[in-house]
Amino acid sequence: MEPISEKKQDALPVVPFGYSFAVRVFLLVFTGMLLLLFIFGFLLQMTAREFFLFGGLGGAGAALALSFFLTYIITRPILTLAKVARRIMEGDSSVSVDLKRRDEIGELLRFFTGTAKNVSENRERETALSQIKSQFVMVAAHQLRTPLSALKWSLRLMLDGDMGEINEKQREFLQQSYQTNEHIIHLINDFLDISRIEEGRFGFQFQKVNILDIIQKAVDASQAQATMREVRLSFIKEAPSELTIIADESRIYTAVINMLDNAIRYSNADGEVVVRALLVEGKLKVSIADTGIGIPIKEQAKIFSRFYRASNAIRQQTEGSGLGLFIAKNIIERHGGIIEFASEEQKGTTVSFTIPATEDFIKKQ
Amino acid sequence: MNQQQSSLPVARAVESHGVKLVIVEDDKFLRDLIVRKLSKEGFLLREAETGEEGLRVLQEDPPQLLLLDILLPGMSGYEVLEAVRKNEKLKSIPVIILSNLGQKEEVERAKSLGAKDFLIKAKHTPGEIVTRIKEILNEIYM
Repeated sequence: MEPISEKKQDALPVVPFGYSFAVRVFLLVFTGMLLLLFIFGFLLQMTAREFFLFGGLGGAGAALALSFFLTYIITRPILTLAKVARRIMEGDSSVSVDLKRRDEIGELLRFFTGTAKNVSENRERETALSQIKSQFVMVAAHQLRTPLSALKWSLRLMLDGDMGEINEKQREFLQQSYQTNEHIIHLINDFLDISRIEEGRFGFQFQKVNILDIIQKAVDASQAQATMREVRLSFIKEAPSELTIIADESRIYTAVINMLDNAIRYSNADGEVVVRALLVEGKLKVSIADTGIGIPIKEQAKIFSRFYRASNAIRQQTEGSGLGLFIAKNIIERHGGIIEFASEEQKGTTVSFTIPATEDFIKKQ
Repeated sequence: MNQQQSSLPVARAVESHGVKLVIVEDDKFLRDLIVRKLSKEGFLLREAETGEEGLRVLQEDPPQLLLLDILLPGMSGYEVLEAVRKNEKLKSIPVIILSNLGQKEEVERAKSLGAKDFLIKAKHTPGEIVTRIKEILNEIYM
């Protein structure tokens, strides 16, 4: 049983007959031998009948067998090499090759196993590094969040008047400090999310939620940023306000906040950001349209990739991590939805997402 | 449940005056801030820095609600939660986790151990925490 299954596992894909190295070697050797037979017969000045008997029955048979044997000897190490290469490609680092050969083929096998060893060592190192990296991100995120929440709470208590009365000027500065702090918290959450997405551990908690309420909450939370940048922000609800869908409330909130952040950040003063939610064929479509700087056509294919920031955006503002839309896309897709955009430089960008409003979408995880 | 209900007149729960809370939080600054906010709302607070101390405080005088951090020196918040659930005298006390963890696994673990809610410090303002405490008190004692 064992050898059969091993053989099956190791079986190489079939090469088309005309391209097969083994076939070519065989034909070459066999033709050469037949040629030798002719020359031999010619030298001995055989009659046609003698030649036919000798060559046809004895010689050709021997030539055939010898050709098979030679082909086998020549191609076997190459096939072994191919099998080993295939195993390494599939991630099996524990390949051992018979190193008894002392010829060129043996050398090749030795070099090859050496390379394979390096590859598997690198692979192990990469895995270890990626584990260290995600651990680092986790620890750093938690260590940063504690003092940042202390800042958040104390600024909030002052703003809420829990620490005594404050004047308008103080309120304005405290409000800005609060926004700045919120921005750092948001950034740290983004880093944590990215690291989780990379590890495939970006967890979701799906439940029935009122989707328009979540979007409203995100719009409300972005209002301060919009005011600061003198951008008008509005939310038009064309879907029924009691619409409930199965979603992860905090993830959807993050996705919408990320899209709003871009829309507001890259709007000019006196610009406008309009959020619109409507039902289209049983699906919820949410679009966020701005009148901002837009994305250059050449760069539009990259906008959902990690750390991407449009060149005109970088010129305008140094702030921004380039993680927002990457995370948003991931979130929307995990809800069985799609995210898309349309943009024209200097005119504005509309990012929209569509998610099923029915219950049967959640991807099996 | 009945005992709890009778020991807490409805009006007091709604107004939050005199409602006893215990908070277990190792960071002094954070503890001071939230205690300040909650005291201003009229709650009576007792503080603990570690899980062990928290359990002792809970035993001495069971509160109407427990605010619990997860990452603590010594016993973790999960262990405190388990100990509370196993204790006849304490098991009906609602627990709100107040932590800076908050990934899916952590939230699920806390909820499976019986936590009423999982609030993330960096996400929720003191005002929102107060609101949530009042909501939960209303749900349970009204």
